[in-house]
Amino acid sequence: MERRRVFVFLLFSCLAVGWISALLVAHGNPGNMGVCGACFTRDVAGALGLHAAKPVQYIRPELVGIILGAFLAALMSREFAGRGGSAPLVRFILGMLMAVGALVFLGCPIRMLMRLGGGDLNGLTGLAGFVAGVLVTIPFHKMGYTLGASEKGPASFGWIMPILALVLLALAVFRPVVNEAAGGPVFASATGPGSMRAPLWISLVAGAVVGWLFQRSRFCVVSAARDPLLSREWIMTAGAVAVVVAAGAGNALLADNFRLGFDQQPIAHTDHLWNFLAMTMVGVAASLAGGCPVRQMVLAGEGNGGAGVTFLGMLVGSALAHNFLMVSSPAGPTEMGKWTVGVGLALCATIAVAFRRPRI
Amino acid sequence: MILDVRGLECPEPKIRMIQALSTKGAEGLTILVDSAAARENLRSMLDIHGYRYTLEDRRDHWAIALLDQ
Repeated sequence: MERRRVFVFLLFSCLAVGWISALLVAHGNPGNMGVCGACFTRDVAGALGLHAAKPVQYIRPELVGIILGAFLAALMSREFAGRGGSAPLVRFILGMLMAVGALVFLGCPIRMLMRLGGGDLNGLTGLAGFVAGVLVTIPFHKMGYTLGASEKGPASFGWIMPILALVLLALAVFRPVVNEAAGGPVFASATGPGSMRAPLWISLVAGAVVGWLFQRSRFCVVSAARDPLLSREWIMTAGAVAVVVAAGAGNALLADNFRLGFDQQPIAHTDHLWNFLAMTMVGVAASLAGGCPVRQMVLAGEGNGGAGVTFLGMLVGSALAHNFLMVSSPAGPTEMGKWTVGVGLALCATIAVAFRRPRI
Repeated sequence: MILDVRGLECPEPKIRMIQALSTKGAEGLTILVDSAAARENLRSMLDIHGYRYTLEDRRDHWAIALLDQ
């Protein structure tokens, strides 16, 4: 009986998140970008002045909402706990790799589902790459890959990320311009994806609902890809399908954003090889880091310092990805992007092999 | 046998449990876990595969003790 209740709640959560994503697109977010861990992190990095790509600078209130929603859900269910201390530097690097890979594909695993929901079939090549990346790591996990155990610390330790989220919220609301000569920070795009945004409070509340639901349901795209093979469980996989279905319905009914095909999709390119390889890299890095970008934000809200560090790695990685021209455009991936995915995959493999410990 | 997965992140608790179940069997296996996410992850798999167990709240962690099948 309890399993059924858990399953129904997960399905409900995933349907709600898919629908919310389409709702945010209907209210002004870029196409298929109602919920995206990598895109939002990249926008925040730009708003803070970590990169100078003018079209993608905005303190996304959804990101703040996801962390705070997960924080509140964890607090109220007494699951909030400050913990950390397990290989922070490796987690930081894995966060960077996740962000770079996602920006070559143009979306984190959650946006990959949202893109499928919008009819963007490039999501399929991304999905194939992502699943391949996650599955490839299973033998490494079995051979003893581990970042080691984290330790529970004082609750105050877990407050760091929620407080950082509140600081971001203050910056989003008051939009101070500290360096007037430079025009920021805080920077905010006048054109491009960063300028396409749902009203602040709608974004914030929508993000908080997403964070809340994902904390309570523990939905993770990595689990959705891995569980059927690892433990013959299909619950998370069904959840991922529910996200796609609800996003599709929402796109068709709310946002008029459903178009089936490969070409002319919003913020997407059609280079199948690099869509596949970039998401392979995201799949490997996310599996080694213990969760996809949005799941890291949710865990960070729960007080998990390792996830907080992973998020900060994503923030820096997304900034560097723009500064070093690794980010794809609708025209396709860049030379730097391709090289980085190649090097990144090698780095992931090195981490998977190097961080094995004998089991007692 | 006691399997201590406290502090470990997904998917390690589950993978270690799978390895313990396949090498040592369920009999006498007790798993110590200290995060709600890992606890529910393990319970989900045990329930779906028909294992019987008890769950004991030990204040700063939980003990999942598998029963004879």
